[in-house]
Amino acid sequence: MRLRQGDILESSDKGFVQLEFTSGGVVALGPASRLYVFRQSANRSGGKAGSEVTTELILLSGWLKGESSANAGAYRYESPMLAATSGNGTVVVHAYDSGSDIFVESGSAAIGEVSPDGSSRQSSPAKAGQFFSRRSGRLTSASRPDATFLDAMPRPFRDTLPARLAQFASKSVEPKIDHPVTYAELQPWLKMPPAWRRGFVDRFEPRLKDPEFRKQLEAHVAEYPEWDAVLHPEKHRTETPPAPATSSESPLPKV
Amino acid sequence: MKLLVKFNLVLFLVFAVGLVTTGLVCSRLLQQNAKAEIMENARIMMEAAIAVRTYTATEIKPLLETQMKYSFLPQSVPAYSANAYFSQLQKKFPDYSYREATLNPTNPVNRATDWESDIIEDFRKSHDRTELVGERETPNGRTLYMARPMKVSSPACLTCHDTVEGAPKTMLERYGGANGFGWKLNDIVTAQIVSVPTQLAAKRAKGVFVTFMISLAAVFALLVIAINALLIFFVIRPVNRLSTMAANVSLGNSDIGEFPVEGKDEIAELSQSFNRMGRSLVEAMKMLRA
Repeated sequence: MRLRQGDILESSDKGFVQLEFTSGGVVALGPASRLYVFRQSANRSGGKAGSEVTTELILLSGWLKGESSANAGAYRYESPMLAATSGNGTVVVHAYDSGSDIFVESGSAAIGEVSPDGSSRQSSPAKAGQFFSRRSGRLTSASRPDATFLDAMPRPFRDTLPARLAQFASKSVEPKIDHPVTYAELQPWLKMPPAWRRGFVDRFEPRLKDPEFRKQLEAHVAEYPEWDAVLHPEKHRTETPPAPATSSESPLPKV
Repeated sequence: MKLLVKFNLVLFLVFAVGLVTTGLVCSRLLQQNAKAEIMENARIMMEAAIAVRTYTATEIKPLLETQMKYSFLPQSVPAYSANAYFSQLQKKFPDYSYREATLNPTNPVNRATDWESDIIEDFRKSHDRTELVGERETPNGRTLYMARPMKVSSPACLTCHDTVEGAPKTMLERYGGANGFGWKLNDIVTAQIVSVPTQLAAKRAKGVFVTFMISLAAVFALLVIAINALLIFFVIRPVNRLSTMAANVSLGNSDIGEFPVEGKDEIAELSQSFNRMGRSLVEAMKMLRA
């Protein structure tokens, strides 16, 4: 199945998902993981090989393993606490409620903290074997991943991801619509950092026709204030600016 | 002393000397053969261990390379696979034991003991030596051993055994950074040693020896019985009868009839001559009386 920019993927409690990019990158999602294809451009234009970010993936929760080679362009993997950019290497990212971990399995990567609004802070270079963890807002690094990380990591992530794209290259499978997205399904994504949920209002506004969806959305609107303008347009309606006065005394009241 | 007794005495003497001589020669030969067989088995086991090591290094280790970045897997170590292979083999051949004794091993289990260190040093001094066979006393009795030197033949070995800095982190996590480093290419660092209790060779030789000697004794016994039977039926009985007839003739009893002649052997010829002599004697007696 071909993915597009903006696609959201969720794996089941025992499921694994593998994404292969035509540029050569391979990304695997572990069980109970949520991924958002934030940016994906197949063609790179200019830039040094391996340094230009062609794909940006957001791991909201769960496990991700990404492999990229020197000519695949750089891949950026973001989680709510940490982000990794790798142009030639393999990284494993774990995002959970209280933090995020990143292990640079091979090659090199740049690791940086992610602000609550979703923007990235200064990143620093990381070598193969280094482990980064940000829990309760505190970033630590170590030369080896900790036992908790190793114990929890999906076992298939211990191996190199097998390339399967050639087997499915000639097949074109389009997903079928099962049901309109429910509020419960969308809620985690609505609450992710603001910079990542840009465009969600336009994308999911048609769902407001569903009274149940609207009701639940409205109940938590404080967590995603950009929806308030759609839910309550009257509050955000801007007054038409007064016409320039032709005389020194305007008949219209000043705002 | 009767003829039969004389024959049997000589036969028993010959058989006794033969059995003892054959027993001594056989015992020594069988011991040597059993030892040679055990050593040959040891050689095959060592070659198989080398094959397992090579398979591990060339086919298993690359497959586990990524996994080794997360946790150390001894299955990727050739020495581990060789020992694991031998543990399985030992279930069928419990008398054989295998060691990859190493002067400076990563895993302390493989550290060479005093006598093993001497063997490795011996191999290091004389590079042409490819095998060493010997016997040594152990708390469990005398043991026969065969040792072969193992060189650091591939640069791949040095990935784990050159420097602490270059070694896989997961391996350091497991074994620490104190041992198993500083190896050099083409250095002899290990000796493959297969040990077997000497009792095994003696036991195997004894089993064959007893069977062989019993068989030999049985053949001798049959031979003695056959020779006795032949003597009795073809020599002693006819001679006894001829002797009885001759005794009767000598006592003047000329009516003794003819001795039955069977066959054409020496006894038959003797019988014919005896009958002829009897007839001549009767004729002579008749002529004298006339």
